[in-house]
Order: sequence, then C-alpha cells, then structure tokens
Amino acid sequence: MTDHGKTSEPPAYALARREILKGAGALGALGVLGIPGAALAQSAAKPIETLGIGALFTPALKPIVEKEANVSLSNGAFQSSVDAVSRLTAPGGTQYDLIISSFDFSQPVVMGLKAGDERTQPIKTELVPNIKNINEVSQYALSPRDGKYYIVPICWGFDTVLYNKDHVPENDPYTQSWSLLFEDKYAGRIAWWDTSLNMLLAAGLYLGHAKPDLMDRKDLDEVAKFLISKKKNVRTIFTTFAQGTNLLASGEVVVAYGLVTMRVELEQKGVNIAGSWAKEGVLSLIQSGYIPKSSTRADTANTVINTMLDTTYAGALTRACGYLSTSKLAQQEFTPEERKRYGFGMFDGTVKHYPQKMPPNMNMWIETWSRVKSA
Amino acid sequence: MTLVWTEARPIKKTKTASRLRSYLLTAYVTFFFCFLYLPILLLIALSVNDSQVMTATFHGFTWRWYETVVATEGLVRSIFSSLVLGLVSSSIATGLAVLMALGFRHDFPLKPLMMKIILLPILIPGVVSGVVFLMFFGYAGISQGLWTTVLPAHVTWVLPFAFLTVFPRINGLDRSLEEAAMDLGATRPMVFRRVILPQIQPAIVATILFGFTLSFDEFIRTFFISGRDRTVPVYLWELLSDQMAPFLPAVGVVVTAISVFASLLGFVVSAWAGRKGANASH
Amino acid sequence: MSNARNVPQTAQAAVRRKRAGGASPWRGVLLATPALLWLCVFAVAPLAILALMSFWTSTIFGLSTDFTLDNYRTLVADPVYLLVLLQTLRIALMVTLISLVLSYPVAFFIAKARGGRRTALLLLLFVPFWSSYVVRTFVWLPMLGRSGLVNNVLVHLGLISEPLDWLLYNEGATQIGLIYVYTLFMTLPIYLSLDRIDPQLIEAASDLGAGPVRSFLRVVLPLSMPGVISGCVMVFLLTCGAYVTPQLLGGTSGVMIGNIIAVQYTNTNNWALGATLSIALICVVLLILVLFGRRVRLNDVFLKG
Repeated sequence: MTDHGKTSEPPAYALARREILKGAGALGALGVLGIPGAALAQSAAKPIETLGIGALFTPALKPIVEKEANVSLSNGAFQSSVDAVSRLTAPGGTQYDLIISSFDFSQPVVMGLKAGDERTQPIKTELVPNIKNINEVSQYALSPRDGKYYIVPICWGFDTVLYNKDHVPENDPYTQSWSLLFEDKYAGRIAWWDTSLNMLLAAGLYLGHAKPDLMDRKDLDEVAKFLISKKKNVRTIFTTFAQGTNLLASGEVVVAYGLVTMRVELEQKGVNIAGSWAKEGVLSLIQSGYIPKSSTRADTANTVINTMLDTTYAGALTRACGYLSTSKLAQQEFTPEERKRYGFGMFDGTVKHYPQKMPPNMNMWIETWSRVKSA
Repeated sequence: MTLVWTEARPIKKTKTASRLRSYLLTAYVTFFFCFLYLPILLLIALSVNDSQVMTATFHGFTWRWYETVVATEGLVRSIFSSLVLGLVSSSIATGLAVLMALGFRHDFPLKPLMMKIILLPILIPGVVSGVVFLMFFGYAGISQGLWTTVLPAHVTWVLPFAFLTVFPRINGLDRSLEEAAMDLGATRPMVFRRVILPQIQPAIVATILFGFTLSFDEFIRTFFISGRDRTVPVYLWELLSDQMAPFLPAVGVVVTAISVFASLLGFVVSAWAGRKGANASH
Repeated sequence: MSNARNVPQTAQAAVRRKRAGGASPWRGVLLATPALLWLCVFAVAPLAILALMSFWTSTIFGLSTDFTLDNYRTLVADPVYLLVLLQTLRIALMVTLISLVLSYPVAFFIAKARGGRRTALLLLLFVPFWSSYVVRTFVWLPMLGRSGLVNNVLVHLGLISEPLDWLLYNEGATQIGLIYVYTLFMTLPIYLSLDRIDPQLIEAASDLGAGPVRSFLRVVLPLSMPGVISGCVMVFLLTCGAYVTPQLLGGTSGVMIGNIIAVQYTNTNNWALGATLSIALICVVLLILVLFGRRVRLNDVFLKG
C-alpha cells in the first residue's frame, strides 16, 4: 500500500521525509484521484520551504505536489495573510521560498508602489507554463508589470460564519447574516478569529459599510465600540485555524468565524457543520503565490507553483480542502448542490462577496483591533 | 529533677500534636501530587482515546495515535535536537554561572548592577526575547539554526537560573579550606580542582540538570529563531497550531517518556556525583 | 606534597595575601567577566535594540527608522494597554502568592525526607515538567472544557445537568494554568534553601524549649527566605511575560500583556508598538523589583548568601 521508500539524506538541514500519516485515513480523504503511494523520488527530491495555509498541503494534496514537482516540501505555520506578507519586509529576510497568501491584501506589499519596488522575484514563465491556463475570473490577480509577473493566483476561497447545525437550526434567520457571529443569541458559544483585517471587515459589512476596507478613523472607532460591546458573547478568540476547528468539533462553541477550508475539514471529520451565506456578503480571497527576494530556490518554487496549477492538483483541490482552483485544467464534476456549497456562486453572481482588500490605513486597523482585544 | 518533670508533659502533648501535623502535611502533599499528575494521567488517557477530537469523552481504546507518532520522523529528530541542545546549553550556562559565582565572592564595585543584569534574560518577556533575537541575528546576518541561533538563546535563558542556583552554594563555602590549601602551596587552579570543585560538584550536576529541564522546555524564545530545526516544544506547538491533531496527546506522552528516561539518567549521575562529593569533602 | 624548601616561600605568599585583604576585587571581576560578556552581547544589546525599536514606526511595508514618540503616545492615549498591564501584574501577583502557599509545604516535606525517599519525591516533582510546557498548558483544554474531564465527571455524578462554562476561557483558567506550569520554579528554590539549613540549628532551638511550630517560624522560615524570594521572583517574572498560557486558556477576559505584545510580532506586524509595550512592561517590573528589593534588602539576601 504505502511504500516507506528510503530516501538518501540530503546534506545539512534539509529534511529527509518518510512521513506517512496514517491519520490521513482519519481525515476521510474522499476518494480523490488516486493518491499516489508515497514512494518519493530518489535523492533528486529538492527541498523547499513554503508558507501557506495548511489546507493547501493536506495529506491528500501534499504528495501530489511532491511527486509531480519532485520536491520535499516543508510548510511553515501559517497564521494569517497579514503575518505572511509581513515576512517580506522583516529585517533579515525570510527563510521561505514560496509564500501563499491572500492576493487583495498582499499585492500592495508584493508589488510596491512603482516599478522597481517589488519585493518578490519575477516568475519564470518558462518554468510555469500553466500561467496561461489561469481562468477568466482570476486574470485580474495576475497584475503583470512590464510584462513580468510577481504574484500568481492559485485558488479562490471565502470566509463566512461557521455554525454547528446540531445547535443552530439552518432556518434560523441569523444564519443569513454576519449577525450570527456578533449578536447575543448564541452568547457564550461564539468564537472569533484573531486577525485585524477579517474581523473588522466582517463587522464593517455587518454594520452596513458597502466598502468596509475604506473605513476611516471615525468608522473604525464605531466598529471598535460595537465589537467591544459584543465581546461578552465570545467564548474565545482563536489564532490558528486548527484551534478554530477544534473549538467547533469539540462543541466548545457552536458559532465561529471560519474559512471554507475549516468547514470542509470539519465535514470530513463528520461534524454537522454549515457555513452561513451572509446577505451582507462573504469575504472572498484569492490565495496567490510569490517568491521572496531572499529565496535561493526560485526554480523549485516556480515548479511548485506550476504543479499547483496543473491538472492533478487543481482537480483534487476542491474536494480535498474546499478551495476553488484558478486553473482551467481543474476538470471537476460537481452537483448543483455541491457547487453552491463550495462557493462557485461567487463567479456567477449568486453569492454576494467582498474581497479582502488591504485598507489604505492598515496601521489604524491593526491598532483598532488591538484595542478591541485588550478591552 | 525539676527539669525532667516539667519536660514530661510537653513531650506527650507534642507527640500527638506533631503526629497530627505530620498526617496533615502528608495528606496535603499527596493532594498536591495528585493535582500535579492529574493532567498527565488525562494526557495518557487521551492518547489512547479513539476520537477525532481531543475531548475527555471516552470513545474507545486505540493504539493508532501511537502508530502515527512512530511513523512521524519530524518528532524523532526534534527529540534528538532537544536532548543534545539541552545538555550543551546547560553545561555552558553552568560553566559561566560557576565562574561568575566564584567572582561574586569578592567585593567589587557595580556588583548590584551586575545582579540586575543577570536577571535580564528573565525580565525580558519570552516573546520579546524571541523577536529581539530574531532581529539581532537577522541584522547580524546569522542564519537561523540549532547551533547558530537557538544555542545562544538557550544559554542566555539558562544562565540566570544557573547562577541563582549555584551562587548560594558557592557563597557558603568555607574559605578557610582554600586558604589552608594555598598555605600548603597549592596554586589557584589546583585549589579550584582539589578543594572547591569536589564540594560544589553535586550542586553543579544539579544545576546542569535543572538547566537541561529549562532548555528542553523552552518554547517561546526558540519559536522565532528555530529555523528549520525544531526543538520538541516548537514541534509540539506547530502540531497544535497546524492540526490540533488527535495524535497530539500521544506525542506528549512519548516526549514525556523519553525526557523522563533521559533525566532519570541525569539524576543517577547527580546522585553518584553527590556521593563522590560527600566522600571528597571528608 | 609540600616541599620543605617551599615552606618559607608559601609562608611569604600567605602573608602577602593576608596583607592584601584576602579577597582581591580584580580576581572577582576576572572570574565574572566571561558571563558578563555573554550577557552584554545576548541580553543587554538586544535590550538596547528593543529600546531603539520603540522609537521607530512599523508598517506592513517595513520599518521606518525615523525617531518618533508616536508609539508612546498610543500607549498613554488609550487606557486599554495600561489596563491590561495592570491586570497582568495583578494576575502575576496572585499566581505568585498562591504558588508560594501551595509549594512551600511540599518543599518542606521533601527537605525533611531522607535518602531514597527524598530522591523519589524530587523525581516525582520533576517528571510532570519533562512533559514540555506546551503539553502542560494545552492539556487544560480537555480538562476544563465543556466536554472536558471535570465537566464530564460532574455531570456523571449528577451534580450538574449542564456543563459549566466558567471553568475555561477566563482569568481563572489562566491562573490555574500558570500556577500549574510554573510550580517547579517555586518549589525547587525553596527546597534547595531548606536543604541548606543546618539541622543542628533546629535541634538547638528545640533544646532551648521551642516547640516545633515555634522553631519553624523562628528558625526555618527565616533561613529559607532566600529560596522563597528566589522562587517568588522567578514565578512573578515568568508570569508577567506569559503568552502561551493566557492565549490558550484565557479566552477574551484572561488577556495578559504577553498576548498583546506577541500579537504585534506574529499577527499585526507592528514591531515598534510591541517594543514599546515590552519596554513599558520591563520598566514596571523593574520598578516593582527595586521597591520590593529595598524592603527585603534583596542584595543582602543574595550577595551575602
């Protein structure tokens, strides 16, 4: 079944991987296109360090990348897009060769204000031929500059309110709005995510701002006041997605801010979970990959990006973790009900969504959230 | 005559009172250890619980989490890293601490200031320490790694504790023994080796052991600068953050078992050194 | 070993030494230098960088090194930060005191034990601390959670019908977690201090007519003070900077300054503000130690042993 093939040890700090998590069975990988037995390639497997949301490299997906790109992949602990993109400007650079975070948020930092300000290495299109297979809706996320690409869209996702159907009836009107996450109805059984951007955007949408990323100081203060007044309903504020899923799975909370990947993971674990389709709009994002300037493994990183846009990975992606691939090569069959659940409605207008853009006054946002948390 | 008589009654009273006190103390200490071990027992129970989620509701017995752990290579490597790092960093820190304690026996200006400086690594909150090291090593161009960045961080962390542990012992040494040795013609290094060292040997070993525990357990400072080599706490944290994996308790149990074994070894060595020290000072 | 011919020379050396006062301050400085150098590079210098950072500005686009007092203004303008700092100090104080009360009898018990029993007890004390800090903290989640051990037992026993919410995700849970995690740091120094007490002193006290209680209060307790202070200082400092424990267990109300600082570095990328908060924390803690030190004459306790 699984082949614990021996790999010869690459020198120094590179990791020789032999890990087959039998727990993968526990995740109930839904018969994805034949997960290749983890017979890793011989000593040619090149090491690469990525920083992306763990859902992109689940035990169902990671072997695909490793086999097709011939790499030994080590994914760092991803906290949020804010944190990920800030690695680009950290003093001393970063150890990661490939970072994947939300496009609308990361783009200003990645591209900089003008030509020459880019903080990432240009994509080598000869290594990423699949860049021409990016579908229509995702084209805007390519944002080339002088004919070069610095950031590549890989998949779509969205954030919403996750709730446990055993305790929150689906026909509860609250499930049609972000109010589920804030209002008193499920007080004490709610969890928020510890991130300035998303929580404030969600609150902004809920309070009626059509373009929440453009909220000014006055609006932010109003949002802060609202959130602080509702904090008493919150059981806890989680930082990592795993904490979030665990809170829902263990019944500690019944309502939580959640990514679509969290919902899919919980469904796979057998938890009766659903995501709300807020009438104010869900928060959408495109996970995009970019290569920090400090990386010495640009070629490997480029190859990995290409693999993620290729048929096998793109085809397995949605069922494995809930993200929607940006690649036209993702041939998948879905029932209409599945299409609705996975959020394809974002593309045909049936699902209202707002992209997670970077606010022009980001520092003020961060400070506002700090205040909310400390209150 | 009168002396014996007045003492007779108090002795009887104190005997029952002291027995009661003794029982109370024993009962309390037992309760304390129960409090200390209950979470550990829960951990063991969780590690064999057949449940996808870490809850205390029992779903059935299973070994599969241990199977998962054994198949995970990252864990083995991190345990090895932590063990070696703990020993090396603790030894270096103890060495520095012993020298410093010996120096502190003399009076010199700025001693109070130095006392505050020693406490610095404890004063600076772990998170801040971690990030400051991150920046420090970043600007200095030192790449992150077990022996390049984590080792200095751990030595710095253990140093104040090592000092606070050995200093009372070293300070309490009888100087006349050393002076006698010098009067007999011993040079200072000889005095150190033949007089001081045997007396403080048990303290040194105990300090190294304590330092090892500190280093093995250190998480937050290591987290920011660990680079690709994970120590056990960093590995556990990433496991916790990334997956909230159901095999996490099993990992915890395995880690505990291994470090218990390693430290038992240390304790044996410490006891042996203690006996040697006791013999030497006679 | 000593040569008869050398005796006059060593006698001269001894006289010279005694004339010099016996203890040479330069020797002291020399011996302390390696440790001092190390600390300067790895403790003082980073602190200087921290102080420097607090005057800079951090944005997601990077660090701006122009001198500014904005961070400090933010700190003062918004009471939330100072309130969290005060809460942190309060929690740290309570944890220290509770930990002291809980640990002292245990240290006493172990110090009284002899030989194999003592080693066994010490081992028993250490073993839970070899399970790793992260493990010791997160295990309180399945312990105190809604579907945790405590709740399950209580429901099973019929004492409650619904799981208790208030066991976890609040300040109380943070305190329990912190006490549990840092017990060793209190118990060990007290034990070491008690261990050093000459049993003859206690015998002498009882010979002079003091009962066990009195001899404890008048002889043992004062002599164990260095250990007590050492333990209290350690636990207090560690608790002030706690991050993981309040993060996992504290929910929304058990927030400590460590969380706020950490989040500036891991999430919001405002390193300058994080540095400012850290400097504030360090200053406050230093102040407390100095004041406390003056009352208890810390220097005497430590430097004269």
